[in-house]
Amino acid sequence: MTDIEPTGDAVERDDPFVDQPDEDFRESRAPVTVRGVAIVGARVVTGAIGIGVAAAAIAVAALVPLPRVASQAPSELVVPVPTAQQLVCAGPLLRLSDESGQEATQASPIGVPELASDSSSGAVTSDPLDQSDAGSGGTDAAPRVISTPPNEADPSERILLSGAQSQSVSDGDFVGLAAADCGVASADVWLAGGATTVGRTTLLTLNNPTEVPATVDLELFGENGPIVAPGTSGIVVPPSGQRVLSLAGFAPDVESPVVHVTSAGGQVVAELQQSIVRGLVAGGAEIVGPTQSPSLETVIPGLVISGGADIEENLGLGPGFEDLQTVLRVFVPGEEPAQATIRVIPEDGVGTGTSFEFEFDAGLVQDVPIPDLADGTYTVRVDSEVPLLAAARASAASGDGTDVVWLPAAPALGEVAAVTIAPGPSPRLHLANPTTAPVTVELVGADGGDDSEVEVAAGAAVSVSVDPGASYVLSGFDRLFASVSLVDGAQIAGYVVRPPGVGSSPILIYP
Amino acid sequence: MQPRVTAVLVARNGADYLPRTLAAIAAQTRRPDSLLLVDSSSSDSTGSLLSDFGGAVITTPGRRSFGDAIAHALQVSGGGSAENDWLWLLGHDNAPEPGALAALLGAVEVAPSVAVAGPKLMRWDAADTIAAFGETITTFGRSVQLVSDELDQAQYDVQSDLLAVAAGGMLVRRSVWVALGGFDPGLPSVDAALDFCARTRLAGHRVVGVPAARVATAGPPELFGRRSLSAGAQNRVRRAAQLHRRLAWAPTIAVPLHWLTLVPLAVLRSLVHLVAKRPGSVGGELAAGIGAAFDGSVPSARRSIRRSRVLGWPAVDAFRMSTGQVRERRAQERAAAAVAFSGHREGPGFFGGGGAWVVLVALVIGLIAFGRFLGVGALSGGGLVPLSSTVAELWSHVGYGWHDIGLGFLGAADPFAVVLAVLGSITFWSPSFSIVLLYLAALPLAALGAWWCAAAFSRRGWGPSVAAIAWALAPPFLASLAGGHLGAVIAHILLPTLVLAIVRAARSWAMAAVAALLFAAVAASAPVLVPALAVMLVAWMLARPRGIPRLLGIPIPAAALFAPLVVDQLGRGSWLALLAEPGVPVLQAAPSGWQLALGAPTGQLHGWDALLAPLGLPGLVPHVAVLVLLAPLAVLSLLSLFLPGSTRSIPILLVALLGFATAVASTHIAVTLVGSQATPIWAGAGLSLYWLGLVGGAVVALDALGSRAGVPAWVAGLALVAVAVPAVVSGSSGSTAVVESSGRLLPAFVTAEASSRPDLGTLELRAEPDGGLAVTLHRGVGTTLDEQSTLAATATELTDDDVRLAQLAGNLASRSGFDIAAELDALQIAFVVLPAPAATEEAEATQLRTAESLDGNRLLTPVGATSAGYLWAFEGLAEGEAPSGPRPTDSPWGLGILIGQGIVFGLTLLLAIPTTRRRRVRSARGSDSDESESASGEEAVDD
Repeated sequence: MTDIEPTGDAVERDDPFVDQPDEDFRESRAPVTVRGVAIVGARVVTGAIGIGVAAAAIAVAALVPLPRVASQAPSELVVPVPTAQQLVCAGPLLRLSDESGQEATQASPIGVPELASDSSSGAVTSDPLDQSDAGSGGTDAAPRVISTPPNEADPSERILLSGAQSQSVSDGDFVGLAAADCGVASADVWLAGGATTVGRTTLLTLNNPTEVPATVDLELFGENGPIVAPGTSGIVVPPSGQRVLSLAGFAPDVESPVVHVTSAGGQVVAELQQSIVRGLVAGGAEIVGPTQSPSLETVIPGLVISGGADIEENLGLGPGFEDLQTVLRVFVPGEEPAQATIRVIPEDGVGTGTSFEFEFDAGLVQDVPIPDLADGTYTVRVDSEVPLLAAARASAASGDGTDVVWLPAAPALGEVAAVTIAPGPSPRLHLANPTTAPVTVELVGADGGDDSEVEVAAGAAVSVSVDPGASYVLSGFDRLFASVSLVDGAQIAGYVVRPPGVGSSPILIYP
Repeated sequence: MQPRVTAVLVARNGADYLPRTLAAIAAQTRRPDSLLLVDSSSSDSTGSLLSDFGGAVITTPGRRSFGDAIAHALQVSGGGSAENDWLWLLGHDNAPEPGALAALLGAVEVAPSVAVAGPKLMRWDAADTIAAFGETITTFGRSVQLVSDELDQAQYDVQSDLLAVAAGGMLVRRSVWVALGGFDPGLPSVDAALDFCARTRLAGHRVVGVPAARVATAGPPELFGRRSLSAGAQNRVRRAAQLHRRLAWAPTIAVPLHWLTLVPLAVLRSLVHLVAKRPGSVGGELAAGIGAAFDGSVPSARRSIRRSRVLGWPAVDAFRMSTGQVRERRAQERAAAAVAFSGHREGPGFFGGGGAWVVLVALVIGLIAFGRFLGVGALSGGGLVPLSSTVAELWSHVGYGWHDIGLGFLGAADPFAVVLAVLGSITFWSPSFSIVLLYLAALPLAALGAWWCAAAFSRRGWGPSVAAIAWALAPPFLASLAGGHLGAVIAHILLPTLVLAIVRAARSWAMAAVAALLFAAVAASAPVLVPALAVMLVAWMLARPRGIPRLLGIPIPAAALFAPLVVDQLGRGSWLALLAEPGVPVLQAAPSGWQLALGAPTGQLHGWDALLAPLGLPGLVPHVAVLVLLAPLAVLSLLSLFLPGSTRSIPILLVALLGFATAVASTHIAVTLVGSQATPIWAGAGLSLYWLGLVGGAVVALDALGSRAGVPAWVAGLALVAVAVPAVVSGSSGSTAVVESSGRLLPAFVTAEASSRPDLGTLELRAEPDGGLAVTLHRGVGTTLDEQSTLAATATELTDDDVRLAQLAGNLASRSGFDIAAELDALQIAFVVLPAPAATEEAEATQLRTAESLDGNRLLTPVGATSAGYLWAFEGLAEGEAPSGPRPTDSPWGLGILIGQGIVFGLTLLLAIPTTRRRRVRSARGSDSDESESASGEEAVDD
């Protein structure tokens, strides 16, 4: 009983997907019948419903907020395994000659600075860098790396390490007080300070505390714009080594240099050392730390004007003494000029400040004099709509003796910070509160420092006397700027307080 | 001596037939000498009909086969077995013509050697048609009816010796019947008479057919007492009978051989059934094979033959039908079928109806848009990365096994990996090249598919031509191509063909299998379409209830493909994640509902906003421009509701609505994670379905407009070409995300190293917009497209391995005291690559921090900037083993899943292979059933 049936499709007449002769279409042309009217009516109704449904669907999709289902990416907040924290201290002042004045390209150290350091865990080790252009590698005269190990028992404990050094010299061309904090190595540093005009020597020191060589590129800017010079790129700083470069070698006779240091591979701590000789008289020495990278809000706390009358007197001595004047050095990177508001606010509300608008050209460095400031301490604020960087220079004078201080813009501190007061004369800690609420900053001292609480009104700054060589942990604030000044007659120095290194902050990982 | 005839009438549920049969027996010119009425446990009025006829009614205990019922009746009634005693075997439907018994007796009286005489069986409902007259077997032992359903023109009216006659109406010498033990109990219906007659011949007697004796029959023996039998059940019964005979008749030495081949042959023949589009016969075939292997009645049957045999087998062989005769019969049957099936539908031809031109236009536009990929070996960008470099690797990523994503995990691969493996195997020498080819051929392929589908529903060429252009230049399609959404591209190309196959699947097994394969491909390529497709399938089932068995089979291959992934995802409790787009996760903005309505799956308006932006026009202008250009299509679609053919326009516009809903839903489901962010499902696939509905509506409308369709078709077609201009221009200018690629996924430095050590790890750290760091670990030459896993991309919980990787990455990006070297060694990570960060301040800070700490790590050597980002190498990597697990073929689970999927797809493929005009067993029915009914439904209720 086998039978045959094809696998092909049989055509069913009632299949809507198979064509029907369009009888009803022809029918609609025929004389109007009741059935014809009914069919046409049904179609009109169908069509109207269709259009309505289409409009409703689009309206719902476009206008009605429909619920969304969105997954949350799983993440893990990784607290990096703590490692020994490191800070690099600048080391002694350097001169570009040996003690007899020979070997004018060979840097050599002048003495040894006084170093103070502390860690919240108590354990601090201090080792010299292994190599130095100043020939001091491995000796006491080399820049020192201070480090503190993590708490083995509780690796997540945040240990605050701080250090600072100061050096008072009076040795031939070098006279004055220089102080600097010990800094965290970084790959991107801006330095504003120094000069390479006659009698001004500015050295760039690059300290690499890491285990890998750092390849450093320099960008130099002066009052006439970017400075192109050979040898500014590919400067190799060996692991645990120091390079000392004379800024005049790249940029001779520049009044207002700004240096941008970027490093690849290892990271470096970069500083400038300036010494001034006016005629035959040594006029000051200073170590200039990094300034805040270009930003819209720049704050320089703790600018001390001391011996104003003597400065005025010395200023009158003629050419070569102009740089005793207090100036604000501003550099606007990029192409867009910056319209900035500069406010010089006296600390503790005592004395009169000044405030002015200034338009800075892009791409060049400008030194803006801030004349007529009475003796006292000031906070300088620069607000701009274009990122800029700034540093302030001030001088101290006592009789014929003068000294210079460069205060870079301070980075904002958040919640907690540690500061070591450089061993030096009458140190003061300056605290500037940029917020609109008053804060009470708690100071917890170590190494002879006393605990205290300091009220800082909204938008104001105060300073407190602190013990030289002591260390303090600052807390109780959300945002704060701080610096340390040391002034004694014709000796002046200062440095800003930096937030603890961010290299080991927790990081959110999305595996 | 006068012959004495005992008629044995066996009835089972034969109330419909009995009155005529009984009357016919009563009307015999030569009345049987005695009549045994046997009721084989009928449930209808058979019993009362029999007893009303008079005489004793023997009732069998329980249901008995025809042969057993006779045996029972003879046993109960007793009676001698004298030389001239005859038995006349009748079923309830065997109404003899008045002279039947006389003719039979006349035949046996003249030839004493004749022990069995069979009448000519006529159709119950058509007395002039021969239902059966004589049986024989082929050389392979299959039983064949010598005559079936032929008009009786006296062409067989020569009394002849036959191998066998049918049971119904058979006149058999009682002594022979007793000596041979009656019908073989192992053959309940089919072939019982054949077997008996063969044994009769072996016992030295003759079997003749008596054409002058005519007895009616309502159907073949297997239908005795049944209303109907499905083709599959019929095949089972026949096959079982054949196998029983094979074992019973075979020489002793050949029995073990036959026994051993039973099951393999059953499997082989099942495959042939599939190829021949008889999936219903597969079950019966296997059941018959296995049943025969455990057939306990064979030994007694063999004993019975041995006992009664007088002659050798040549006595039977002489009657076999030769192979040549069998072939000739088949050829005749096929020719008859071809004449019967000459249905032809009018529709536009591919060349005459404009299809060729439209495909050519699509080819040219495709070459304009993607011609720059000519001669390119691989593509990347957007959702595209190259495929694995060999076909073997490609297929090794299919199934359930180890994935080298993150630290690696054991899980189900995306079904899309199968699609990619098939695609990549086309260009087996360089799998990635297949994607280039796909891009070059995408537009003409889409046009071809759409034209083909539309032409099946159209009488004129306008609709298909507009459909082809609209489909090839569909904005969601072009956007999917530009963005490298390969799954959506493949789904778009296959959708029209799938729809056509589903529509035809209601009537054809081959089409159902094709639809099943296409369904699996589309579902794997764009899982977000599955709910909409399922709704469409259910709706079509409701519209075509008769096609339900075939339509139900369509999702099976897709289900087999998805099952492991479904189990994995449900284990996590995230069933929405099943809808995630497979492939490389790409971050994309969710378009608004308004943009979706205009067919734009991205936030842009098909490139019109970008094109008009330089002119400084108000933002509304591009919207209006796109709206105006899309209006003809929308108007035509909605117009179809006002024109005749609403049975087609309403469903197709509902498809558009489903597609639109799918697209809107996909923009609201963000389950795929890209680093720190969740990205919505690509709306292109849903919009393709939406577009399908709109274009389908337009086709219906154009078809209904008849000869007036020309102008609307041109307007709609040209407007759609205009809409696509910006997308085509941006494609040809190379401003799309997809660009040519070297085929490398990682920097050349890594590729060179990894070519010798394929498990070498490369850690990719990407700074995220929120300042976090996304970590990806690549093994070997990188994570290829076929290695991507939605299981990994949709994971919302971290495993221990993830945390371990996060610890490593976090410490790499920090100054830390972590033992990085040991962990890099343990995980066999040799490289760290830091691609460009996201464009936020936080990301840049994280990037700087990470670069600084990697630079500051003395273990890592900076290699430099590469195409994939800044690269560091860990040169101190110790030899070791990367974490890994079983490949899909290595674990019992994985292997089992692969084999299971392979079987499902193999069978579907066999069923889908086009085999034209094959013989098919039509379901057996009582001959009183409606002829037209039996022509359309080859599958009836299976009892």
